[in-house]
Amino acid sequence: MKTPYRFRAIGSLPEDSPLVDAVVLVLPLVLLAFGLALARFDLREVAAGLGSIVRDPDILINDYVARAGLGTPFVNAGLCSLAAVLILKRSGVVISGPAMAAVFTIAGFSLFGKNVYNIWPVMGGVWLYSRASRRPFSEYVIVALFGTALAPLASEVSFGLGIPQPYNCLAGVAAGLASGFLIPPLAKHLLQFHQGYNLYNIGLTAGMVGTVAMSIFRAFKVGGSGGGAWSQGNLGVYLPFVLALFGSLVAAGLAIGPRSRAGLRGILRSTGRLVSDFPRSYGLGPSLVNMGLVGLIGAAYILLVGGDWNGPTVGALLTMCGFGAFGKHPRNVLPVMAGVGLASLLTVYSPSAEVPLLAALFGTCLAPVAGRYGILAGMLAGALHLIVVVNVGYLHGGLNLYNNGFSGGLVAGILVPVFEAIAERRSERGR
Amino acid sequence: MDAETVQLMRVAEELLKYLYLEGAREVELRYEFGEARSSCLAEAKDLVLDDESLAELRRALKGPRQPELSEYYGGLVGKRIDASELALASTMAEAELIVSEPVGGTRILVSRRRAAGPARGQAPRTARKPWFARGKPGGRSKD
Repeated sequence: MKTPYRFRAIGSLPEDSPLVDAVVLVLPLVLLAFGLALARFDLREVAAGLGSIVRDPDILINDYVARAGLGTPFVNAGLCSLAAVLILKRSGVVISGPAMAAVFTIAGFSLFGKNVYNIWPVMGGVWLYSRASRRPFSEYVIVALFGTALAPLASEVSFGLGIPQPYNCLAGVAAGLASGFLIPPLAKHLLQFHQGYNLYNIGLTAGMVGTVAMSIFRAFKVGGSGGGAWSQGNLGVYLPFVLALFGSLVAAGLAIGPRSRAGLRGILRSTGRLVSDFPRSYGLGPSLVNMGLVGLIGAAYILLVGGDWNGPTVGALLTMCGFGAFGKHPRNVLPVMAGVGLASLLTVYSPSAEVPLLAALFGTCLAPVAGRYGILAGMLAGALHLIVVVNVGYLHGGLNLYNNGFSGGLVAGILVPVFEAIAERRSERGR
Repeated sequence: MDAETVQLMRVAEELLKYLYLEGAREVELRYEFGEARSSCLAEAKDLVLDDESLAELRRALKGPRQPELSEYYGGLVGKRIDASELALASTMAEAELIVSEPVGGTRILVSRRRAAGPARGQAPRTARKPWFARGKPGGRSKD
């Protein structure tokens, strides 16, 4: 029996390129404007807040809203994501789904762990690797941007180990450079472990590197400071913002491609497995609509379980939305979120508590499992993810910001071979 | 084996998977490894694609080169699962020829330019290994 080859459709990326560039440039500007407006354009307050953000060790979970007020974290997010956009443009790469996801991810995590100081050493380390391996940096730029998952390592060495100035910053930068140097080869290697079913592959990579780094700290009884900052009660401020942002994406997508139903249907039918570059495959219009919908689903989940609105949760929504251009869509994220939610009801974890709430939002890195193997498999992956993610954080001690990507990689690496073996047997029987 | 060759072989394996899943049962892969450019011809004499499939294949292999994706995610291309990675493969190699006709069957020729190949008219340089992959100068081998 003939099994047809399942194509990923091809869109019109070259024609859409200027619009894609505009989308990734608008995000940092919106974040900057929102942050400055919340800080009532008081530049002194913003500067003081940024100083506090930079000097605090960034061990998970370090909510910048709790540390520096409502507006400054968004200024930090705007600056960091603007830097990411400029690096992408300078590298001359085609900005498509992965690059969009990287920019939104940097923006999101700049509300709780990445800042204008600590993102550079890791990216510098990736640049050093590109020099050492005699390849252009543009080949590693996506890895460099996602690799800032290990940004807290530079902050921890600089400000958490008690090293006197100015040696603290030198040591922090050196640690960041070393971790960045390790990321490109490891990330490529670890991709094979889960076969592209964990969208946050760098989370798995950074988890490994972070585990080694934290083990070294523990061997010398140093580090492990910071963390534990989590603000509450900002629903009235952040909910209207995320609704407006995601709603605008849906509206912009419909305006760009008013007849983009076929594209959206194609996105919803795709598994989402790496590499699912939606703007390249289905065009920008349907991708923007999908990004907005995925973000709105995340926001609805927080409202449903009565979760807090703060840096980490808004950051998770921005990340989910970004991956709406790179693998996530309503059909594959909902089973995973349902799995996390149900598991938190059946276990000792409360769905609105910090880690389970973030697990439901970031756990959607396992969306391709639901996309490929179905709803039940997705729910099982989500449930297992919750149980694993609350435990793996100890290994890297919070140095890896993509803790859910670390757990997601382990869960996908365990489940996918089993699901694939079952699917193969079923396919053989069907012949 | 150098990275360029490995990438081309992955693309070839993706073509093989495509042709097999489309119904071909005799597939020939022919490689040519040059100093500046390497190519691979995948040929299935027993397969004729209909117009729609051919157009879809051409669209899939037409996408722009994206080395930032192919370097990182290229390892997923050619895996023996039914998922399609031709779009990703198109970021790794250029399609030179895609034909499908009753006489001769289906032929797909892809090629890959070396990232740092020698300029035209120049003698090819011996590729230097990066510093961390080189042995100590004058160092003795253990075996």
